[in-house]
Amino acid sequence: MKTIPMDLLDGWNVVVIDDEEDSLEVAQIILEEYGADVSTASNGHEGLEVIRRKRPKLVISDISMPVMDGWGLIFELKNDRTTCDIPVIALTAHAMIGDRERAISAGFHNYLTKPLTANTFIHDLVGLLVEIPQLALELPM
Amino acid sequence: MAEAVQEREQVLVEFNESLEQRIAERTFELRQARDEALAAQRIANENARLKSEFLATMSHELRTPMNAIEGFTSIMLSGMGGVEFNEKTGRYVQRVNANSKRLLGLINDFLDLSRIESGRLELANLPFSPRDAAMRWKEEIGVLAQKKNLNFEVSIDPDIPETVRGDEEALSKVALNLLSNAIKFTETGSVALKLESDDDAWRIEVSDTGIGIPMHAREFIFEEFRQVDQSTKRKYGGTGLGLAIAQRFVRSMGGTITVKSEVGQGSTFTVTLPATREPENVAEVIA
Repeated sequence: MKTIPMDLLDGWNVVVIDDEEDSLEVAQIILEEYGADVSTASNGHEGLEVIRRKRPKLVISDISMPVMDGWGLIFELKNDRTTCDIPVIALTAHAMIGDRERAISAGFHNYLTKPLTANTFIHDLVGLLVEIPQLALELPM
Repeated sequence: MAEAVQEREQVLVEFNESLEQRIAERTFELRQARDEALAAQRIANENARLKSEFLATMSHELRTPMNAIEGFTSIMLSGMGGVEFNEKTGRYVQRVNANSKRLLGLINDFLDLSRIESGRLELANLPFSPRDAAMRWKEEIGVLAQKKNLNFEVSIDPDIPETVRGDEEALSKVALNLLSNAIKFTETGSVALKLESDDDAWRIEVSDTGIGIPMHAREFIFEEFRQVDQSTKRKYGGTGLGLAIAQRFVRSMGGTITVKSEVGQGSTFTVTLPATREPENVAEVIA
């Protein structure tokens, strides 16, 4: 595994949305370790509000959530001119085989599979960020 | 004469009436049978729906706490969030982390198996490159082979199709399971991965120079929770689910999995899959 610079996400505004508090906290600790400025929300509805307020560089969102799930969220974001360009990465459970293609066709940039761990999360995330031209240019690597 | 005609007419009328009644009775019976079949089908559908709903809920409920344990222990071990501890606590957290990984792996295997059993496993049917997949397996397994000082040979038939259709993730699970078993049961010598191809099939062959599988055990190693014997289980660990899942995945892809082995000499597992060769330019459109 390549070493990832600790200032990878320095000053990046990132919104993480998940209804599991533990999962949110794990993501937040790891992202902050790499310099990100993290805001969290516990469902798609709250997430939309935070995204509209914060204008983040990147959104990472769980799919299955109460009130408004990941599918509702991505629909709203893609149908709003002011948010449709923000890259959104889905968080999916193990082997939701049919859901992956569905996530990408719904407008998610790509997906990461839980569990998020200190070793794999950032490594996998970088793998996805380099495919997003507007973000790849800003990566210090 | 007229009487005879009238009598026959009477017979005909009666026969006609009885025929109509029989038709009515039969129609009624058929309707009843159809209604019963439909009701049974509704119950069966409802049961299948409840079962898959139960599986989805269980899988979520079991994995959520495991994900949290793995997430937080990995953070502690990497020293993120300003966590500090001494050598002993570090070692204990390492154990918690390793065991949570093991349990999560077991939960995932178990859920895969239940989903296959309930017919709820939907495998993808997308084009992928067997060669690229094999290169990824090589990378992952090479590390394990090196740790045990085993030779790891990979050979790919040049005639292997550029793309085949199927579920790459499921197939990778199968190949990685066979390869890590080969490493696990081999102390000295080598483990080999071979990709071969002929007209209508392609094969993944995993062979080793390990302990081998006794004749009597070859019949049941593909059954769930079965291992060669209790001492194997104690010595090598594992759940006995790996090969059961592998066989079901391969079957769902229209393939077969077979084993040849000689005790003390080694084993060879062969996965044979139909090679639905993808016309090169169509692949992208479908993907």
